[in-house]
Amino acid sequence: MKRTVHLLLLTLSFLAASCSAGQEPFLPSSVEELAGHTVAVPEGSTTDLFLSQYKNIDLMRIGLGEMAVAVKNGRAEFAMVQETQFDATRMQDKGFRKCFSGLLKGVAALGFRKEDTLLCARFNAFLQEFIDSGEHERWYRGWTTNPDSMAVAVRQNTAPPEGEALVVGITLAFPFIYLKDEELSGLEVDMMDRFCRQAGFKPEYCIIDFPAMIPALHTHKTDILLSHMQVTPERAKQILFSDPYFEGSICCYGRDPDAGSLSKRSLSQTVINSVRTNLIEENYWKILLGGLLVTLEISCFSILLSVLLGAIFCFFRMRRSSLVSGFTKVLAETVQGIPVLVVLMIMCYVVFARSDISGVLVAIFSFGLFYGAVFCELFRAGMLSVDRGQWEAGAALGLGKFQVFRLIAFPQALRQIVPVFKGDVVSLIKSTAIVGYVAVMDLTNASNVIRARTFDSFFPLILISIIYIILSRLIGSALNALERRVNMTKQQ
Amino acid sequence: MYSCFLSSLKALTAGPFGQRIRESIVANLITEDRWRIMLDGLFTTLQVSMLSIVFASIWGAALCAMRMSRQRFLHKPAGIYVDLMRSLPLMILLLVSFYIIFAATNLSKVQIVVACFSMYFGAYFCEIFRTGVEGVDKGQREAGSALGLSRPQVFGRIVLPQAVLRILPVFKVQMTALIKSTSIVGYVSVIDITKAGDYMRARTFDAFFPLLLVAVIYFILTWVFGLGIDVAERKLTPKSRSI
Amino acid sequence: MISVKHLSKVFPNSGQPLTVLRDVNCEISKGEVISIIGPSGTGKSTLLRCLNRLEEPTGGQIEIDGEDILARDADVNKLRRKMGMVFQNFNLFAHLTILDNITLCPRTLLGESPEAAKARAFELLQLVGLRDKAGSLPGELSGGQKQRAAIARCLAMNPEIILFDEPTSALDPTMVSEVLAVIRQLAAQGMTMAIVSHEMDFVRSISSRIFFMYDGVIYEEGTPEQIFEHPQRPATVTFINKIRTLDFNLADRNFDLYGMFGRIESFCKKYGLGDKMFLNLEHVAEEILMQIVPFTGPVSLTIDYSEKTYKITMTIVQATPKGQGGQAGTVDSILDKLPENFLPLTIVRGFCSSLSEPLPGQLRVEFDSEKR
Repeated sequence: MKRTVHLLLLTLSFLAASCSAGQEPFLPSSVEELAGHTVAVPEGSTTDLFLSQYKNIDLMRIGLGEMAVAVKNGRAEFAMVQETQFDATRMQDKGFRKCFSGLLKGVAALGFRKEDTLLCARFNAFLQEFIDSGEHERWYRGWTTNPDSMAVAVRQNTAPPEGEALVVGITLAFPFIYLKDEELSGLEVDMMDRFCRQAGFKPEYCIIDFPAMIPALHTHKTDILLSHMQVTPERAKQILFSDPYFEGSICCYGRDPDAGSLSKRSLSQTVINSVRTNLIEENYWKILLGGLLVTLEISCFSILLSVLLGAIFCFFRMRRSSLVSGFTKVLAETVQGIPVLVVLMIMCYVVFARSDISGVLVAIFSFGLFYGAVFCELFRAGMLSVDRGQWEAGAALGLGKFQVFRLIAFPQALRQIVPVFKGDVVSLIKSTAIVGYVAVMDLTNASNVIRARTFDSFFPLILISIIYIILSRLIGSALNALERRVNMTKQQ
Repeated sequence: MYSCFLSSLKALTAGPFGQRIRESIVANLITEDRWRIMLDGLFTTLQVSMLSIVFASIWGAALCAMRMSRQRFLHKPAGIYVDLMRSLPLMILLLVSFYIIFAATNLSKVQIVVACFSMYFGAYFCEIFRTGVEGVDKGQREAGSALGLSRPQVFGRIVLPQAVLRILPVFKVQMTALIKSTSIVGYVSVIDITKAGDYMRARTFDAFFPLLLVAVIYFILTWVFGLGIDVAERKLTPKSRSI
Repeated sequence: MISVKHLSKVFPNSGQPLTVLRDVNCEISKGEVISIIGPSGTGKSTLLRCLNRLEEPTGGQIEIDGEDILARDADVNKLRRKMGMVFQNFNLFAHLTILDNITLCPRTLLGESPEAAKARAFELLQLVGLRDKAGSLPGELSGGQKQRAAIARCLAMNPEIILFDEPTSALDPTMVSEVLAVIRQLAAQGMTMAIVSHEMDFVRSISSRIFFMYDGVIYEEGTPEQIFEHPQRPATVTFINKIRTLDFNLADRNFDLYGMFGRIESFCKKYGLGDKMFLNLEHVAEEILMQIVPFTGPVSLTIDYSEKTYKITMTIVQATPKGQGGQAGTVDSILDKLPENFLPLTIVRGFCSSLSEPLPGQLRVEFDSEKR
């Protein structure tokens, strides 16, 4: 309790500090003038490639959802995105202004596997009809001028499409694809839904981070790529593009120093306002709750799996055969020698690349494996700490090897193991925060999503910090109770 | 230089499997000088790791001194700080550092990352240092005092040498943990070795080679640093000699 | 040289203050060897540790060579250089060789050159018999060697007085004598010393004065003969006697006979009474307790060994049976109840020099020790 108050006070002071960041009114009018400045670009996009040629621009490659936040916070001075995106962003927050536009005119299309010509043709047919009937015009205008009411209208008036499953790989980017009330909505989702309704498919949307999209298509993890993908010759070599459904160009924007400087609100008003924007509007709290559940899910199962694996590895590690023991030793040391993030990525993009398995399961396997290796060493140290004489006495009394283990060695080993185990479990829970890297919607990633929409970094981050602190403390106390029980049985 | 490398590579990797490896290496490393990106990433990882270790150690020592002081106004806040760092995931602290704490400052991304890691690991190092110092037998201190050594002298000549030796194994573990955790800085778009691997993956659409390379590099890094500490441990262990 | 007036020390002890020293007054002159003895927990070590301010007294005054060492501005470190301390647990610096242990402070605090310090260290090591261990680490030495090295470390600072805090209490009995030999040598050379110890023989032979501490004060002081031969005050008498007493309280017949034998054996070993005496005591105790004493209630067995007369007395008291009220004299005579020529009785008589029953229910067995 005290700590939370302390934390709040600390961070409120930072709020005050971050309010007063000055900004020079510099307005570039071309790409060349961006030299020496920080520019945010969507990772892996054509803009990214284009700007990479300019060596003296400080490029910040981040996800599409992060762009506006980065500019708002001053981490990046400018950002380059699709004009449609900028327009939608500006609708939400007037604090941005366009610097120049009309760059990199291009078209966006769906991505298919080279051999899925039939599917591609069906979509092209749908698209043609969509354009011809004038629906395309209405669709485009509705979404670009008023996405929220469009989203509500779409939700209310149409039923979700049914039929054969079709996995669609997407990336979150307002207003093309975003989460509204925990459900996906947006320009492109609407279009895809319409197509599926007509063609008799049931779309399963799957968030994939942009660099992993094309490989995901190849490995049949998804069937279609729907992520406002610009058509380029290099990409066309790898995948089959549909006819373009969107035409646009890139613009560059920055922070508007004049509009909307933070008005001097009272503290309580700011807090209430923050709660309103971040939690209540758009039911973001549901997203957070979902994220929390995912975090808990991954944590719990990872703990169970890692304990199990740790026990198994430990068993093999302590065999007399040096082959088995040595092999397990090498395995454990290797897994421990690389970051858990890299293990996660290997699992996600190499081992399970071809399968349909959910990101949560991959995460559970990764953490289970990594911490399994950690626990293997821990359990081994605990077992070795039991005096050899204990085994001998047990054997001399006539107990079988497993009985000696169960009744004598293990309870004593626990004494050594439990204190360190406590720390490792908390460590495991904390490291689940990285699963956002492979697009799993855990608590941390949920806060990123909210942050990207409300442009407020402070509130979501502080909120989840508090949640993590409470979580760690709870688990810590639970384990302390376990430790006491383990030790108490000794005293009796 | 390239032709030399390429020809030796060709010789080594004859056969269809070798062909694939060769293609992998060419696509991932040689095309567009992509190996430079890996090198830059490696350099950044090393830079962040080294600086973080240094500053985290300094900060950890300061925190330890605060923790062990008798003044309440020193050891209470230090205790709260350490608890806080141990309850928060590093990822969250990184985001908080980036978007809240250092948002308004002019620090470069790398500097912010180093500050963040130093804050986080400083807390862990503080605890390690504390267990080390407290683990030195009380009698050692008394003997030193009884001989007339002043308190700083007792600490510097008697307690510290023994404490350092005691904590080296745990310190090794934490140091490797630090090096491995620098892998997350890609989230705030600092190009470390992991992010560089990601970048390659985005270009070549091949996940296996970059990830394998990244894994191998981390393994070597942690191994080398572990060796370094082992050497230090051996040098610092007192040995009897014949006089 | 040292003058202590009204010294007191109270430990806070988390809410329940513990008064260890109440009102200690003493004087120690140059060249004296003072031994501090007494029951456990009476503040002997605390008194010693107050002298070099390892413990901070809560009241009173300590003057060394006229200087008030408890003054706020007193230079404690300078004071400590004049005094050496030898600890129960040796406290050699684990990370330094023996040589470095000894030379550290002369070099750091006295400004001696490394060569001079080294030469002096070798001298001292020679003195205590550890010259060949100079390059070893403390962990490689036995307990006795460690303590001797600790003494050498002390001497390197040329102290005016050495404080010994139970120097042999943590040692194996086999190593006690080597350390005591070194201390004896120092006494012979005229070093002023204050020793807290439980080794009564040693204390008796080496001290110029003995402080008997009891109840937080120096209860009685005097020369060894005065304290050991003619203790005046009751607690002193009890202590001096008690240390040579072995008590057993047996509730009923099902007592731990082998445990008793073990303690008797330790007792005999401790006072050098010899194996034969141990066997005698054992046989007698067994016969009396198993065959003779009726065990109508609790029984107490006490073995007293007088150093003066070298006589050993075993007293067995059959207490009144439980639950029958505290009426004295309701215990019947034991010996009268036994048949004529009772075999166990004959056996007992064979092992001892006399057997009597001074009071009903109280048996007294006397033995002659061969120790001289």
